[in-house]
Amino acid sequence: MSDFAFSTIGELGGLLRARKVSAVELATYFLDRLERLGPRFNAVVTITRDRALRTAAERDRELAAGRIRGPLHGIPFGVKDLLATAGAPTTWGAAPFRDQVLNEDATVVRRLEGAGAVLCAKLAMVELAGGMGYSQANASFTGPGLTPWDPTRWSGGSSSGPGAAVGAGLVPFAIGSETWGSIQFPSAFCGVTGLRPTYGRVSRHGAMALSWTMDKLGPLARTADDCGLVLAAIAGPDALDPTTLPERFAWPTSHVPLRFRVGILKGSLDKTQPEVVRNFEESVSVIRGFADVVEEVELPDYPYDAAAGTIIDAEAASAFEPLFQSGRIRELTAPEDRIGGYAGQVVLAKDYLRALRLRRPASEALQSVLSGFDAVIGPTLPTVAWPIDRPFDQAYPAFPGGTSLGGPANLAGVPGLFLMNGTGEGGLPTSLQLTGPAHGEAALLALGMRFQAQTDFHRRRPPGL
Amino acid sequence: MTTRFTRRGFAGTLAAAALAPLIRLPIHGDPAPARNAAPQPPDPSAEAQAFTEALKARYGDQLGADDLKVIADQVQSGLHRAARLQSVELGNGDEPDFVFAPPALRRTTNAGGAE
Repeated sequence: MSDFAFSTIGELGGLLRARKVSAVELATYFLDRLERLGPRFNAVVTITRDRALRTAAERDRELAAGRIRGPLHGIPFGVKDLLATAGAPTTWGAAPFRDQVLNEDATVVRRLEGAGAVLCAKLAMVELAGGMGYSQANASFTGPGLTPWDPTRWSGGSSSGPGAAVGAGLVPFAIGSETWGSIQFPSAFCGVTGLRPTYGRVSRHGAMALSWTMDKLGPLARTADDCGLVLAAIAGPDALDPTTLPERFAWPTSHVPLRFRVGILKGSLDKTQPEVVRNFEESVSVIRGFADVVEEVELPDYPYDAAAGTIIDAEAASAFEPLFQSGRIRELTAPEDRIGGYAGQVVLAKDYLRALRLRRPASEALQSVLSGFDAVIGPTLPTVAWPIDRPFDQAYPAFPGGTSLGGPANLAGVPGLFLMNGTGEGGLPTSLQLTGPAHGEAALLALGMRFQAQTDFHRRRPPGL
Repeated sequence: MTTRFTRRGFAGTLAAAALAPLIRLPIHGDPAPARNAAPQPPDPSAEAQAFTEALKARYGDQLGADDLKVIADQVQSGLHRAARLQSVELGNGDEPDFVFAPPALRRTTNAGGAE
């Protein structure tokens, strides 16, 4: 059989529509890869073979009848195991929930299947999406997520399975979630393209809640274009999630500036691995070919990280209160997770509300800066993937990184795109982060497409795969 | 149970900044003390210890003495973080960034269907 593993959605869709491969053949190909290679990276929780083959056969019948649902018709995918899928376990990556079966599909799953895509797997994740404060890689009942670029290194989390599965060519795309960093880290460490949409762009209905006001769902895929195709299928209002935005998202878009405007975040290269700095500077050289670049963009001075942390701790303490009441929190895998959530139980209501009150001026100030650009950029992370046998703070203590948009962007709910932009120490991926104003996904994706049209990092494959 | 490195336990280390997306530390540290400010009491403060006692009262059957020491440090880190929130001046009219709508209104604020 042909090598479909690292093809884009567009390429696979072309083969399907030309009848060079059937949806069942494609599903079988990726199901076999998930089964064979998934355990190597601790990437998979449940393979949904029966559902996949049943859905794929239906998509083939539609193709034969000339009905094509769209660009995702017949394309296999996986989802982070915090999305409900009827008939299969939804474990949240956590031992206390390993037998949990929810009796409905999350809106995102329903929309993707409605767009013709074929669900092949529930993918691994850090237990409770990292909400209990893990500090090393072994924090899931399925084991530490491993990057396909070097299985002695972490895949990143908490969307560890989506990152590793896309990075290893086990699925063409996957859905992850980000509350603070959970699409960013796996995209960087696994060398894939990830999109964190604007808060409210994608319905959270059927997704495990860690922090209602900060959780976002988004795609990890081969390319920015693929991320756009997936976002177009999953975005839009949903009566089952009252926080969804009213507008839909169209991709591809014709609203692309002739020349982009890009800012470089001041201080983002401080205390960063030399190879990451080098690759970032080379990326900027590429970007200058199609964008006006403004150096030294500064963020308004607000306690973004303190506000985001307060909000997440308070909301997680409520979301997972039954785990504390029952004592089952002690069943989590990571020792630090078994006690890491108690302090959140005593966040004062006034402090939580203060964080929510200052969130508005902080977000508006950030938006006022970001809206002057199509993207503000910096390295996605200051180092390559961390070794799994060391606590996180001992991975690269000399390179903690400089100014980061992670906290501010997640507090404000603005979108981010993460792209592989080279390799660093040990041949591991490095990554470029683009942050845009709220609702600015189209420009971010268009910018990412331009970058990927002029580079080949998104085509590189992990060794041996 | 003691854990050498926890999300709230190593705010002062360099690695804290890199970990902040995961562990939600106040990576920029706490506000610098004002000049001539009174010396700060050692951590965990009496306030942190009081909160920890409240947790012990509620969950004591789940937590050992070593656990409570770690939790006291985490509570202290949370208090430092809360102090940072005071650096922004808010007026009486600055409302929390959420909007409550009664059910009838809520239906009209969202055009989506539950397809």
